Amino acid sequence: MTLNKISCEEYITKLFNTYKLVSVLANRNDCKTLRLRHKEIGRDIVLHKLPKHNEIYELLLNIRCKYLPEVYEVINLSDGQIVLEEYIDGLTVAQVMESGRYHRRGAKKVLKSVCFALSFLHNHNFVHRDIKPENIMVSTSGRIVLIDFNTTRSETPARKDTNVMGTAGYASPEQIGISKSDSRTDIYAAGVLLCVMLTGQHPSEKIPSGKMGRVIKKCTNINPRDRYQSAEELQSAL
Amino acid sequence: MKKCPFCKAEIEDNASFCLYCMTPLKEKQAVSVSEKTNKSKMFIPFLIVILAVLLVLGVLILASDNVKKDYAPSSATSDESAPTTATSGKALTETASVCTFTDAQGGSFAPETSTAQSKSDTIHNIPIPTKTTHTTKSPVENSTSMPTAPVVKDTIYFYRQAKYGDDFSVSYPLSENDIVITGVENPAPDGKYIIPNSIDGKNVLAITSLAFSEENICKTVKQIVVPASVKTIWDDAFADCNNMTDIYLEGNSIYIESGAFADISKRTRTLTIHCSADCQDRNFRYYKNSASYYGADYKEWNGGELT
Repeated sequence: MTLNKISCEEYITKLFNTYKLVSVLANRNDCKTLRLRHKEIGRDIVLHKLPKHNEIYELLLNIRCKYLPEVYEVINLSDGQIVLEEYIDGLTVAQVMESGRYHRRGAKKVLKSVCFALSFLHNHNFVHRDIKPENIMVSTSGRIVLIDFNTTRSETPARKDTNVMGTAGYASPEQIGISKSDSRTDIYAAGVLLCVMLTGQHPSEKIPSGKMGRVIKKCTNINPRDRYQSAEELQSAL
Repeated sequence: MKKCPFCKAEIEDNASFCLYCMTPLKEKQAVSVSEKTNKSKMFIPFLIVILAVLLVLGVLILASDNVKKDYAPSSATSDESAPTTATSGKALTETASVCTFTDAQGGSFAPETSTAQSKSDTIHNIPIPTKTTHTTKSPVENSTSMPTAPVVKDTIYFYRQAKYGDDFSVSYPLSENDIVITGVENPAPDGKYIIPNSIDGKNVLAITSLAFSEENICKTVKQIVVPASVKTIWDDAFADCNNMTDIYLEGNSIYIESGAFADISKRTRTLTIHCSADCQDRNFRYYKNSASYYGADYKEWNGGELT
């Protein structure tokens, strides 16, 4: 049986011989994310069912990065793509923030980790485009991991992004406007993230004073040229 | 189809992962995550400080005259019971019930008023009871006007539960009984803050950022006693505690983050760190940007000079 002749549903059904469904982590549009558990071994794994081939996973398949989830398998099928990924046991930053705002040191640590992950993506010409607290996990061992690459795309130097992507508040002006998304789009969202972690509010409402405030202001500048131009630059500013 | 080298199950030829034994079959490249050090940032302040040494020496001579006059503890235990005399570099404004002082540096501190929930709007906005006393004594005296007599009041420490998501530089398995000190409600009478090792039966594990940095507290801190239960003191815990002279570490192992004493160097030239019986007393100068580990092997301390 050659894989690309079967559909995603058929593949998943076959998978349920060995794995059981623990929970549905996401189910939107055509993208499904499931948490599966091996019936005998008892270890968890994440399955993404995607309608379209996303190149980011093939890149992640070949590397191991502390700040990104390990991708175990990428399977291209007749009607889409299935990705098997490491399950991160822990909480999202959004969940951690439910019990209070971050203090400066914690926020710095999260943002530095996000910067590492972003610089890797950007160096390979990918833009995440959905940096927000719900997409950053804090594992039980304290590892910060950037997840959810549904919106991750190759940088488009020539074409314009025709789809409006991103999350309200975190989408940079150019993302919702007419210019292209590039690595500085992620810098903008990182700035919003930092602000929300420290103050609970969007930079348009409240910016902390001092050094963090200056960093946030520079990240969220309307003109991409006035922002930090790379994740490394942002990281060293922290 | 091929066989998995580990479990011998039949898998696809180009599989990177065996679904049956959950073993990755592919060699992965580790992404190097070299951290940029802040060394380049140390050069510029170093140069500036060298140039400023002569100026600082001159200022110190002047400042040492002013220190005693400027320092006015915000609690009611001041020697100067009615600070109505304005000294140089100090502005005094009087409102109906509260006097505020601003010193030359622009920092301000006010006498303690009995605001019970002054911590309700802090960074650590946790819905857990945050106020507690560590001993029980006579009730607190309500002071809304300028006190004329010293009032002995227990130091009340705010705390919250140590939570998952906190970054303890040394990893500990946290229990529900572990708490971290987040603040102080009222200044200690003689500037000596004895941090308890347990409050309400809960173990005090750490001192968080800015715990002692509130305006009405930081200037009053002279000495701190850190119990053996505290394992970590975080960045900025004692930021702005310009008048701190001594810190006593009762445990024989604690991790003090760099920046724990941020900004105290403006006035304090010598911070003496007293260690447990195995360690010698030494006079330390505050060393910026260094994280120091105090262990039973005292030699690990690598503090340096404040230029």
